[in-house]
Amino acid sequence: MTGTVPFIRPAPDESLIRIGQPVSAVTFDALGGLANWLHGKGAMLVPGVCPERTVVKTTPEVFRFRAKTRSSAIQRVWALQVRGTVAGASVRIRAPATTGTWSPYYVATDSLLARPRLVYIEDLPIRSATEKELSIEVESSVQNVTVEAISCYEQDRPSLAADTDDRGIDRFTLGSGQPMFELAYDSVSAIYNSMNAADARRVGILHWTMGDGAWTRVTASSQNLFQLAVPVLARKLARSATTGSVKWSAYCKTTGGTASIKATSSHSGVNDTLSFTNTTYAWSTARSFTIDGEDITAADGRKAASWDELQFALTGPGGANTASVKSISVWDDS
Amino acid sequence: MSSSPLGGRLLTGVSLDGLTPIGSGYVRDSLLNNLTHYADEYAQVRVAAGFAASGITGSQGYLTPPTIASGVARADDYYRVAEFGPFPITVTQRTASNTTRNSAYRMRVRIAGTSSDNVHSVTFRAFLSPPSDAATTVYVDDDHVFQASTTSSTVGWLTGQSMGLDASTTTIVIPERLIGLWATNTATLAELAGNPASVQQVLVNLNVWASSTNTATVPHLHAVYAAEYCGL
Repeated sequence: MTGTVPFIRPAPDESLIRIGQPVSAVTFDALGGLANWLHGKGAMLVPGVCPERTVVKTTPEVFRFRAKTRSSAIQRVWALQVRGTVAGASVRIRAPATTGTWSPYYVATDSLLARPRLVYIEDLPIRSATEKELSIEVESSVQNVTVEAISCYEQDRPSLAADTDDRGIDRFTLGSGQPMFELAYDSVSAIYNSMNAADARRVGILHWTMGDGAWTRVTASSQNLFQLAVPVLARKLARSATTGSVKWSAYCKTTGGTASIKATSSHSGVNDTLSFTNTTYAWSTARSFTIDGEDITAADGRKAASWDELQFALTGPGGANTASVKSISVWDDS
Repeated sequence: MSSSPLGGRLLTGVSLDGLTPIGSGYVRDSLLNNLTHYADEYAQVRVAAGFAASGITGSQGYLTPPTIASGVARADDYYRVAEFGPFPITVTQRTASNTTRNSAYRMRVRIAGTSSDNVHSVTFRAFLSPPSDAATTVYVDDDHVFQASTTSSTVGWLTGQSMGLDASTTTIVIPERLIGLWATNTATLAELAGNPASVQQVLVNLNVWASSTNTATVPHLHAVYAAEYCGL
């Protein structure tokens, strides 16, 4: 029997657990439900970004992101906001880029019109928890369109399998009167196994993309990317933790020489520099970076009531060479 | 605020096997504590939209309400600037005074915007709603609506607050009465390449609409941030 995933996060009652007293089946069942919820609730892979990118008619545009996915996901849901210039026009979208199945959508032109939601469902071929590129492709046949927003999340699971990818717990085995076993996906030990294998990351932290355009730089001096550095906050893990570690990577190239991208955290001043020399576009090897961790005693979770913000600066290779960056991704890999 | 007893993960080094007895202390401090803490911190970043400088992208570097920009808007009416989503907001049970209720995770919100003429005031509203309800929800004064105004043309994060009793300067939250109203069923699969199934979700957009006191003054949206927080 598969592990049912609750729609609403369960709240096991701590007051029912008394030191020296037996723990009731009600508590174990709630814990089992919470464990299933942690594995079945989908994570946000690409928090909403605004490419503000014009897709020229008949020229498909690919938007790339990078993250470490979770093993329980079987579908990704892409949501786009696209604005056209001619009423009644349409686009087609597919994910992943070049290999996904095209799906057509109507686009609107004006803010007052009922804006159709462009939602694309990407069925995954396998379940995996690996770092990978996430891509989506947009094509318009008769007019230029503007991609105003893109986001992507793992679809929630209604139930989980009893295997190492899903860690589904059969809650029937936690019920009152049921014997207690040492099994991987049944009974009390399954709660421990699920907790031990929990992948409860807030996966997507921050992304930026220009689609098939590129942020370019020739001079060997730095140029900031964002008009304003973007807020970031890692999840808190250990009880004493005040910071969190994330990974970041860039889809970039240079025509020659060495270029670099520097990531800087506003709160701590911590920075990390990625240097690249590749002459064809590729994702750089992911690098670790420390940002503020959530303060779970604060009303809004911010550490010291301040916003930690991330800025990127590109330094060109200098001379006659050009550095180009199409995408930058930051994600929780811990 | 934390819902876990210890406010952080506790690694005990104790594993459950057929030979190791466990007591209620282990259940509370390891199983309950860690699972609830993981769930607290499973709050997702929903929007992190920073705009590059216009010289980088070749685009204007901000979004505007097309209706206001085209000069056909009415002063002080709200018009759509951007929509992010939909996404399934995280909903949890909370128990207080022996009453269990369903509520959504809070959401940290931040908006960066400017007034095109540096004279007249523009107002931005960032709010959560089902995609089809944006045009009506924007006019609701409640805690799932965040409002910030400016007369400045200098790019910067705006100071604002939620429009309900919370009056929070950094967060919004969907009122409990709307959770059931907005819950919907979404088609999916039971397993990989499997049979059809459905999940219940509260699917919402993070919408940003704007108004202007002067029909010739255009609101410019320069950045948006929205991230869930378990908070109580």
